[in-house]
Amino acid sequence: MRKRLIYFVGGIFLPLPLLAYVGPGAGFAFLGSFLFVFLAFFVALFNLVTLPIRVVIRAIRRSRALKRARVKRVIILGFDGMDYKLASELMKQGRLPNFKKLAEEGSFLPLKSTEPPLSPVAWSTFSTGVNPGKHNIFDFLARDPKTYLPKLSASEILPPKKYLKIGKWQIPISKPKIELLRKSRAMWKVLGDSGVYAQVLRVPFTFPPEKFYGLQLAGLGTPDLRGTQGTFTYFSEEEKPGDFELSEGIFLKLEKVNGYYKGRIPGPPHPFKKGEVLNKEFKVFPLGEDAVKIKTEDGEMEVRKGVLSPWFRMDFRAGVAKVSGIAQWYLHSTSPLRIYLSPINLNPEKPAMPLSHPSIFAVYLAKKNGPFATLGMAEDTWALNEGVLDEEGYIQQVYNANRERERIFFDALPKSREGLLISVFEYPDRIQHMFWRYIDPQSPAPRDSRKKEVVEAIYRVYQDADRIVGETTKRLRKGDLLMIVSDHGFGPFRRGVNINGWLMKEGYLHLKEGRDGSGKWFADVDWSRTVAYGFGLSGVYINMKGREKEGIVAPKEAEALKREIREKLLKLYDEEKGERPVAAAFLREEIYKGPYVKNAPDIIVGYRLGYRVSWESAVGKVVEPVVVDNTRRWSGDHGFTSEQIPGIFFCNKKVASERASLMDIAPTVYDLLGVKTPAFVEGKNLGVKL
Amino acid sequence: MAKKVKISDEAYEKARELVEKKGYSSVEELVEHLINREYSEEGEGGGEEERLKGLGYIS
Repeated sequence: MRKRLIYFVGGIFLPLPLLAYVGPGAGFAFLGSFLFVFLAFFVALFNLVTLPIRVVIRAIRRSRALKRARVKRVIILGFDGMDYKLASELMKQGRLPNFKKLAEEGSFLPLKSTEPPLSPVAWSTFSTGVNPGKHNIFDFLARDPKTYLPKLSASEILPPKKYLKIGKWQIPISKPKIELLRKSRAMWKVLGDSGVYAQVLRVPFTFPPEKFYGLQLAGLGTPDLRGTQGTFTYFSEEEKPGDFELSEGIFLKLEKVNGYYKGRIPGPPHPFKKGEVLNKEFKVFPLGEDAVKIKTEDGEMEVRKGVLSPWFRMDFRAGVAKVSGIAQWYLHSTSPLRIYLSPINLNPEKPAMPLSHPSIFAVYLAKKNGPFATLGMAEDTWALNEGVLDEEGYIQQVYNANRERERIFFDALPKSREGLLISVFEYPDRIQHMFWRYIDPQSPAPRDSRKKEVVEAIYRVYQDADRIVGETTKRLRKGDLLMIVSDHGFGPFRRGVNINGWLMKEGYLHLKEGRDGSGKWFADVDWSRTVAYGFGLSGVYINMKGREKEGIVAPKEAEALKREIREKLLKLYDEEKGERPVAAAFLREEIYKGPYVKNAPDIIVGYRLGYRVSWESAVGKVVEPVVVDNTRRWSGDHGFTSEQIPGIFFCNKKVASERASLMDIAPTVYDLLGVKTPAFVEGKNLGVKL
Repeated sequence: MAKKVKISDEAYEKARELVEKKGYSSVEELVEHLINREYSEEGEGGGEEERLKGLGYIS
């Protein structure tokens, strides 16, 4: 009864974004505690009064859609990064019996991704049924042409504009801005407009959540409590972080006191003091050789060596305001004492930023299923790259997060009676990125484990996904339609292409006098002589006059220049390996159409399997040589052309179409649920045969 | 909370034509895009390097 009441309350009340902490430099919950409650009361009252009218309108729309609907419910499982070729091979070997059964009784097709086949681009196309030119997401990163600096492409967080300043203190008196930058209209919004209910669980790049008729939990793109995409902390009693040279994360020394160690956990930026950070004191008590007890004012927990801890709540206080987070500990060793702390996730029970629609939905999920990872990329790939989290610890982290998502999905499955239910599981992507080296004999990355769980991590994650499919099909009801999709496939990342180094070598990019390379984000680039620069994971931009701040290329000269660069890119040759790293290079107008094409890179580079943009070029550095080995544990990737790495499409029914693209999912759902496909949608109905 | 703006019938018709021609999903999206475009031209610009920290795809 209580659960139903929460659902009921969640369904009828408008979502109210929390006036909360919103990232570096921003103010947070001072207004939250009082004003939020005050406003919530009036919004709730308004909603209660207008409830009967809204219920009638919704019922009329719903009855129209239901009359046309071909199925009662559509369930979509998303497995981020699941590769068509690998899935086919494992099905042949009999390792994926549930997928195989679906393929035999229903449909199995390669699913065409977007160009580039990157998660933000691809999932946005899945969500809307349109090409990137209409949804405005072209990469993980977008550049600001006024500064050549990067921004996240899918969401923007801006601090409050107005503060009351009293000495060193600044009290926010206006709201922060948290905006989803994906444009067009998501399928759940279209369905909701026709009275069809939807539950959308962790679809990537749905942060901040949108208002619509249904429930949503944000996925990839959701920040941590520090406002970043995930910053871990590594503690040690040593002066330096052991053998590691941390390029990401924070290293802090623990201070030895009588019989214990003490340290501080750096939390979010101070809401009222610019440039300061909220900290939390903690103590570590050794418990023999294999365990420690960690204690803060919020509680204590025993942490065993090699075992990722359960979620540990940590509240950061600034006067009357409190920002609540959760994180996990991992004890490396007791002598010397080395402890990893995961990025601090927003506590779903007390979210400092909007995690769900309605906002109470995340609270409900936490109360019902326990705390869960809310950070978009909860799997700490950097900690494994840097070696501060070992392979077993990383695998635990991946599976822990996935079990939480599973619990949420299987809780929702029996409760959603009709309409659409989507749940995305991202663990195939996270495992393949980090463990491809174990299935790729040519990988130059370290293969330092012989443990089966590590060596076979990729096969195991496909098999685990197969188990989820089996559990789901067992629970299907009459009138249910099941689709399974991935946003792209996967391949080896053996060699990195320093695209900016190549542009420099070819005379398109120039450095300031006396420099032989550039630091991050083009710090040493001489824009007065530069005509093109590489940005993000697949883009090349022309340094265009009137568009870029220091642009020098006249728009009428740009077309010829783009074609010239493309031709040369296609001829780029890796002499050491005897291969051409670039499989295709597209001019943006060739592959995108829509109102946001002008925001896309001028050239989209599609790398050949085995190659990707280098780590250095991805952050705007200019270095040589042009092609280098990728020796990081992040050894699998999908920064290739979409043609080389199709995703998967499964359905428990046959489909008429012999080809499928991510764009086709939304119109297929509209057809199944009796909703007219809007004119702006470009995908084609796959024609499910019932 | 969404706000309402009144425009002439003629401007609305033009907006609808543009929506169809350019591929917007609604008149609201068109209006917001045009406003944001104008607004960003006025601003000083910036970056969000700090927010990117921890994004596995870059370092």
